[in-house]
Amino acid sequence: MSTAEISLDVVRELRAICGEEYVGDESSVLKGRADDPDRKFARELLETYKTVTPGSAEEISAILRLANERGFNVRPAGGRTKQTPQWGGPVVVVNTNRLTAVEHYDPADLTVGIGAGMTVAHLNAMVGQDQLMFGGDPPFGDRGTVGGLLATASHGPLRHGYGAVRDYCIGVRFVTGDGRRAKGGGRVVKNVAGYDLMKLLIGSHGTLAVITSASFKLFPAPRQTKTFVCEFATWEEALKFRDVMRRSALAPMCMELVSPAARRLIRREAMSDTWAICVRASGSDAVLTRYRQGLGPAVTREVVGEKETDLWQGIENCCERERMHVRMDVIVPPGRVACVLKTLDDITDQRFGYAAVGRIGLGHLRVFTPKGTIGGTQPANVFISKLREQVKTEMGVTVESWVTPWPIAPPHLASMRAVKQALDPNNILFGRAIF
Amino acid sequence: MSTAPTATETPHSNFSAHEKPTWDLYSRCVHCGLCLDQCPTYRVLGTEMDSPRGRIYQIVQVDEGRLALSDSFVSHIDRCLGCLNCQTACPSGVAYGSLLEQARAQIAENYKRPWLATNLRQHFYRDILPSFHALARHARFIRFYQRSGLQSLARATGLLKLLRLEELDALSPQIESEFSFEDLGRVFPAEGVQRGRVALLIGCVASVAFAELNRATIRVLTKNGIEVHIPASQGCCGALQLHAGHLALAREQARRNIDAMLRPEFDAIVTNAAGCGSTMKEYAGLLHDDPAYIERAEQFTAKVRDINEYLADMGLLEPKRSLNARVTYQDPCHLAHAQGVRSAPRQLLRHVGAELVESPRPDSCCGSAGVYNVVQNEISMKVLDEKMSFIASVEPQIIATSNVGCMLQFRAGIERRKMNARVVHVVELLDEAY
Amino acid sequence: MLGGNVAENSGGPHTLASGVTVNHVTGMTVVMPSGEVVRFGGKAAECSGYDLTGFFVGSEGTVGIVTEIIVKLLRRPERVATLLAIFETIDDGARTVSAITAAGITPAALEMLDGWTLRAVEAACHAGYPLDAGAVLLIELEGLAEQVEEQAEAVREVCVQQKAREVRRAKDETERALLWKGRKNAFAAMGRLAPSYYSQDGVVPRTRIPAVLQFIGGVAKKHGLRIGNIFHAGDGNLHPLILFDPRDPKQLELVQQAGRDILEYCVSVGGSITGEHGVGLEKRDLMPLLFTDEDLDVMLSLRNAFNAAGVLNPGKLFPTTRMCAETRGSSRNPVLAAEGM
Repeated sequence: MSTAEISLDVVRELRAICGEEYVGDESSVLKGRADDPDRKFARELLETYKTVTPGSAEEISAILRLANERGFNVRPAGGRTKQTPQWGGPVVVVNTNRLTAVEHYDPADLTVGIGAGMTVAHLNAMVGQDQLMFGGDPPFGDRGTVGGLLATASHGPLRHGYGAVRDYCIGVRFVTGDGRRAKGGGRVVKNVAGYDLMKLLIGSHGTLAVITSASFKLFPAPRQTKTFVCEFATWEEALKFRDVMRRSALAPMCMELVSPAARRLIRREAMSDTWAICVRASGSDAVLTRYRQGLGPAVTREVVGEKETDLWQGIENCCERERMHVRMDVIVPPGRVACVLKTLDDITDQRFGYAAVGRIGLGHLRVFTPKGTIGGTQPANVFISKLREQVKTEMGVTVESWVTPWPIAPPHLASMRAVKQALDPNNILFGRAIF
Repeated sequence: MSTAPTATETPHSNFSAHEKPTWDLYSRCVHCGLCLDQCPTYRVLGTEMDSPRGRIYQIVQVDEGRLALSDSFVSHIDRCLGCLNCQTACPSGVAYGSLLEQARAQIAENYKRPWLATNLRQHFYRDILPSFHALARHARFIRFYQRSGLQSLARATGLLKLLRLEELDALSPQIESEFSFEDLGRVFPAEGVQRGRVALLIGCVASVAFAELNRATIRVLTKNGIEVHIPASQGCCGALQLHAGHLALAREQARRNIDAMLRPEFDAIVTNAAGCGSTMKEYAGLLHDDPAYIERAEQFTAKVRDINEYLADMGLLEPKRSLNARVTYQDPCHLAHAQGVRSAPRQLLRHVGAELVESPRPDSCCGSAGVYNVVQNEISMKVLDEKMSFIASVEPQIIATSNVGCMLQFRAGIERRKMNARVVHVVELLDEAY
Repeated sequence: MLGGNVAENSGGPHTLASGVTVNHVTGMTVVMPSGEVVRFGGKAAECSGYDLTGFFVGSEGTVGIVTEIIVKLLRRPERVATLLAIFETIDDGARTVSAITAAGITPAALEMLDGWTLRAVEAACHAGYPLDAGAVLLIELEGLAEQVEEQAEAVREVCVQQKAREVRRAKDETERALLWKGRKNAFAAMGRLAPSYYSQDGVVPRTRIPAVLQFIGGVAKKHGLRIGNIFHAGDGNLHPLILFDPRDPKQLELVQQAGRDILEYCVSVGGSITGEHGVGLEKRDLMPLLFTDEDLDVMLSLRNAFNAAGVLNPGKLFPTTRMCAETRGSSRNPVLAAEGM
């Protein structure tokens, strides 16, 4: 098909698969949303997409087989919280919002399996009733889906203490680009039967398969937590503190760096220009006292209760406060974070101010540049090429609103292509930009 | 549940029927592999065939007719140090030492080695070792070589290097001026109150190369109230013959020593050589098919004590001098693994004031293993180098052990490493203290 | 050897808190079947692109040969408490496992040995295991001193509530090392009881541990075999040790049947056919218990993406007959049926 639109023929077939009421336009889905993508031309493009909301993996399989036959592209979407590259061509968006069934839930075994369309917030609420906790706290958890979390390998401050989603995802069910329904893993926390397909799909940004459901191991919810806000004049001092912390025996749930600009995003009234490291610890009173002692004089505030919850939600979602132009996640070996921050400082000017939060213990930084930056994506470009020079070691950089999520071409591109070929030979899923 | 078929007769075994490794012994191995890291030859060579598990498996294969009793099998068994580290580590309780002895006996009986090697070995084991006269004669010859300047000449001119005897030369002991043979038949009275009476084995090579050590042993015993007898008709304990698979020769020695040293008036039969003690404790097993000797062999075995064991049991008297040196004790394999004696020597060393430092793997084989360092010199040196690195890591002033073979090996080791340390027998340190 | 760990994505007793091999490998050098040498990942916790490092770990040598790995290191904990909880019956011990998890405690390790196994272990190692117990739990807690003490107290309470006869704590590193030596030598200690043993490896949800142990007892009776249990109770990963005499072909058959029975049961309660030992040749024909033809087809496409000529480990991992009608998924497997497959 050479036209940019989905033909009526195809629409009819889609209706036959899912039911009439579940086939519509992406524009109507987007209309209801508070955060519009802020580039007008992108929005116009998105509005040409058709959207289907299937109710089962079988339906998705049928849609994909149709796509392979008729040659249109498919794009999985959940909460639409991550701004993704836009591209033309006939596109059908597969909406996962109806895939919210609970496949299995065993609180005493600390495992759960749910549909990919369930939001992270909903999942947390569900398991919270049994004093359990889900390890993922990505931005926009109230709208972001579990499927999206997996596809983008997203994370929040809890990653420091609880690991990345690849560490607690124990099973995944999906439909490959060529319409085959399959699964990897299972429902138990220890399992090496077959290939670890969870690892392949996590972070694949919907280019290999449409994830329909997944299983996770859960954690006991901490009985009580406390957050210690530590402040520093410069990021150099903050990193020194981090190094001391990493060498100590303390093992907090979260250790999050917050830049001055990010602080202002979280609390508009915050006037200070200081860098903060927020340390969240859990345990009994005795344990929390130990943390207080261990953190020493850097602590300026202790936060508990609702204020604490608000603070962390603020950190998780601070890039939402203003329309962020570019959001980048950078992961480097922890010792190289200084390089990243220095590079950012070097290219900073009035036009390219930046805000950053990050799981500093892991070497992670989430950098965002505010709306209104003239020159579009130029500064981000410059940043990335300078960073490459400075860091000189394998690192992960993912950028939203980019041509491809990975601006630095992974060195193992050939192997990636081989995997892509195996699961989506006709390149139905979102692969044009990368491959 | 059906009964298992008896497989004591493996019809296609490539072993000869008499005294071979049997199912009962080797079936204990469940292949877990916990022995591999304990085996010095595995650590040095890295191949499964040169690990205890691998050697056991080859024995099984030969017994089941799947492997010939020829070059490959023999080479891997030859490379075994016989240190028994694996036996200590084995959770399943495999009697690896017995399996090895049987395998070696089978090889001695069924495998044709090159003519010269076979005859030299036979001559050494049959004619020289058991006869103190022959030993003394050969020793005097070597002593002449060492003291006349011939050895220095050979070393200086590089002749040894040319003949590839350099390393052997480094390992050879200095033959002493006096041999222990002169003490045969003597009785050394206890000083002060007599607490016990023992028979002392003076050893074969030890008598010519470590006669002073034997004297020191006697001194330490007598000063601690023990009367020491040197039974005249004793001989070589038979260890080297046994470990080479010459069971008949070993048994001869066993009978001879039982006749010479089993007397009701001795509380114990004492030796300062771990290798000898271990073999003497095996006499009952060696002679279990001999109705004339079995009962006495058991009595004999029950009385054998390593010098460390004996002294620790009796309790040392107050020493006259305190040692005050940094000492690391290296367990001889035949004391730690074969006899299970580990804490006694350490206890004794502490009693005389040594600052004891434990190196990593103190009970790992040094590579001496009887004549292994001669016949498998290359591997022996690799094992020694690894062992010396463990020792060097604790920077000792003194390396103490309890076996003459190990002492020779360590002396070569400190030479190779240019290490500044003294190699002694535990008894020598005790001697200094009393 | 680390390479083996990587190929099988090995676990072990401390995976309960620390994770399995794949959670610690951030990069690797692989020789592909084509002969090409490729690098995945690096020193950073994550790298751009697909997580091929994660995919290759546990791939059982069927897609590439890993020659080098980059691993994360963990700091040693400030304090370690090692407890030995002694029970009269296996059932008591089994129920305690879920009780501990339900109390919100995640131990660093939680191992179980049944009475029979620990008697063999004690004979081998003299680690101080009680000879007359029905079962023991070896529980290890790690972390901040304050936290460990609190957890140790909490664990002790839970055990006592579940009718533990006694809860001991290792008073120093020597005692601790001895307890673990006993556990690590346990498999091989079985050699004292029989000439050979078949070490099985299955997983069940932790809530099903009491049931699976009863089932195993039943299997042992049914086939007239002796089966000892030793396993990573904390993550439901069991290792039934089935004793036998390898000279008897009848026993060999019974043992394999017993192994299959146990694994089928594991799958029927939502578990897996292997927790850490891998599939290899031994369990390739059991893969259809867990995976449909299409599942296996997708995995095979991935294998063929790298190893189409079947140069590496041919015949491993995939069943010899994928299309065999009688082993097709849903009719046999209630779990798959529930998922609508």
